[in-house]
Amino acid sequence: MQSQTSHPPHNKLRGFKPTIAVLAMLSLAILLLASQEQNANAATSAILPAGHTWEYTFTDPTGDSSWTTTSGTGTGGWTTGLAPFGNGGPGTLLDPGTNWPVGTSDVIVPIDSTKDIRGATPPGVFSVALPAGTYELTVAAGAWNAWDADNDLNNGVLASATGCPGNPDGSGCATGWLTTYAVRSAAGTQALEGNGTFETSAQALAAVSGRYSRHPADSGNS
Amino acid sequence: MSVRIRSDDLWVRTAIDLSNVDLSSVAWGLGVDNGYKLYANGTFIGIGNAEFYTHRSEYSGDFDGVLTQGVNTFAVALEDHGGATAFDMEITGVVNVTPPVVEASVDTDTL
Repeated sequence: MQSQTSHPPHNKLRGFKPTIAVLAMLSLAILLLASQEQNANAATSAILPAGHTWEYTFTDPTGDSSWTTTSGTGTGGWTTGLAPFGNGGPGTLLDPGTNWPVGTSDVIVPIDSTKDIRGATPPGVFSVALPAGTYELTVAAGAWNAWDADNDLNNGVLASATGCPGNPDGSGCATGWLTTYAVRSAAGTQALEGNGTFETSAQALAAVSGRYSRHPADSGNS
Repeated sequence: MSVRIRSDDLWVRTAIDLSNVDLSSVAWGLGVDNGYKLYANGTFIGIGNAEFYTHRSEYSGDFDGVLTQGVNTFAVALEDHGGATAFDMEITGVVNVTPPVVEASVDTDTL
């Protein structure tokens, strides 16, 4: 009897064993399902999708390095626009959401109206000090005195010519006009090279007019 | 002689909340005509420059541990060399990485 009286708890436990096993299996099943769901959620997705809204500016903000760590519009030319940015030109990402025009500004900074590169080494190469940025350097109004590095210039007037004697208009000279210079600059003094030589100033100006100058490394389409 | 400052460069930035994102899974891809410098939270990530046409996956990479849980700032300096211009960027990653809490209990009083 005692053994019997002591049996009920065992009997009760025995009676609930299947329930515990079922609960354990259900819990395991739930965990497995949750794990599968988690795996399904683990798929890579676009956190910042194409066509996102960006803050943008055409005014160089790099003078203050905090432009890479802050956000906000209203100052520094910052405003918001939808990507893609572009001008819809051939080969660009289609249907730009925000216009990214090309062109040069009207900001023209005189460097030296009569830069004389006679004696430059190597010939046709000289240096100017520039802050960091991208520049187009061009001859102003064709009044470039370095028509020929071998020529003797007197206040910009050709006094004698050793490279093309007898041709004061420059035709037939070996070096020709040095017309357009370009550099994508780091801060400091940069060496600039002419990217074209022409027999006459008219040819030089015609070649410069209406086109961007390019660094020699940038040759080709863009 | 004069220097004319080119005006066709562009700077863009955005801030994104990466809470609940597996930061180690975050990757980026962008296309630009012609060049870019990418920063994340002020840290330089990458640079590229190429002529010819672009596509959205022209450049790609990860963020090498510079991201943090919460809001992150992404900034890109863009440059164009004339002609066509273009830029777009995508950032991907695994979200919802926190496993769901599952509670199961057994009433031991009934045992």
